[in-house]
Amino acid sequence: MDGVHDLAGKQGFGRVPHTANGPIGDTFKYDWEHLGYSLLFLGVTNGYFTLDEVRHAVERIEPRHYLTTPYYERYVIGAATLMVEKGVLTHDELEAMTGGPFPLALPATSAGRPARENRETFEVGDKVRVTDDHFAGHVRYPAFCRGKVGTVQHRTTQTWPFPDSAGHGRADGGSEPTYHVEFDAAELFGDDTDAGSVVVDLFEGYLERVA
Amino acid sequence: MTLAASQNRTGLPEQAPVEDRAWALKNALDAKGLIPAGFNEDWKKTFEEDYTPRRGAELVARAWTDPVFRDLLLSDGTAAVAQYGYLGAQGEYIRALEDTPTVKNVIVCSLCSCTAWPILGLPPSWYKGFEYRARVVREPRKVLAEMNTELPADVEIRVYDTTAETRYMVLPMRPAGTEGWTAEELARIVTKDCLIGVALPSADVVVEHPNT
Repeated sequence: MDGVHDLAGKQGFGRVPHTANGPIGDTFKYDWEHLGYSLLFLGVTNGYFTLDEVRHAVERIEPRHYLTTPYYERYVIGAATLMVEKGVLTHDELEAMTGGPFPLALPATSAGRPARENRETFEVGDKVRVTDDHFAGHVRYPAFCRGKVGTVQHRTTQTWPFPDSAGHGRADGGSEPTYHVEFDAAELFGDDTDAGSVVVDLFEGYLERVA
Repeated sequence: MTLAASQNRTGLPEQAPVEDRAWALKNALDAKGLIPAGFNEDWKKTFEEDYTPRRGAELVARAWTDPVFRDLLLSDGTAAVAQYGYLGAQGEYIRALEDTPTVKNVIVCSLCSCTAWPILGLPPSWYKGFEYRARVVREPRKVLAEMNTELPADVEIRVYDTTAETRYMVLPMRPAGTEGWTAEELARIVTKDCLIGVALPSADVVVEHPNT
């Protein structure tokens, strides 16, 4: 999903509001702030949805709404959206309990997709290309590496469901390792970068061998 | 922000105050009997008290003083963390990234906020902010310099974007002036920002608060 959440490489932002080892205050600044995370874990624990679906729900917040909403509030909206979409609560119940408007994330524009069937296993040191893939549903590759070539640095010893499926509540996500793929910064951003390299943790289904 | 004020901001939806919405979500679920007793409170306590960078600092200090543990941490981070019982939510597959005289590792989650919660603590606001997510992948040297961490020009910066299930911690270089220190003393100079990769440990900077 080419949404505004895919921020890496976007230019025009100012300074990071922090200096090294500067104070960050308490874990939660307001007494409601633990609710986003704890209620999304309630949803996962009770089997209503997956953590991938939570990420996708937050990505589906209308772009202006996303960009003007603080972090923990986005997870309250995401958890509420999924509780309504899964039929656990109704939007009317939520707004009645709130006593005011409670706008949710927008509906998904994709049904998701299953894990790719023609995958292959890569070894450390292999050159791989991120598939030139465009998909309106949930994905876990940032756009800056789409179509780019890098080198496998690590293959995980565990496997997980393909997010493009799990992020839509589907059961056809299979189980894939991921690869830590190291890209030269120049491959990603030309000479407009001061990084040496960027390592992205990519599911097998996003990769193809470079001949 | 009042409802009247929000109506003047084109494109933004009207919404009740966030604390009202957050508690309404909890109360609506509670009213249906869907929340086990203490569920939210237990998570809050875990987030505040158990998931702290003191754990990551303990792992770094051990690695600095025990070559066998260092090798394990770098080759199988999950096993090393499991020895301490520090695996947990958002920290089940761990990889430690080794800084060297020529490589500085830095961690980000450009798509949201993924962090090795149980050993770094929940991510701080700045790490989740749009500035860090957008910029550190592309201009990490400038971002770190603005955060008062200047790196020599011959040190390559390697940025790890946390985009799947691996959760990272940085194993920084042990600073000069710490010869002969105990692991407990060393752990006190490994800050949360050292574990994320945006700060370098120094013999002069001691951690005072569990979440700093």
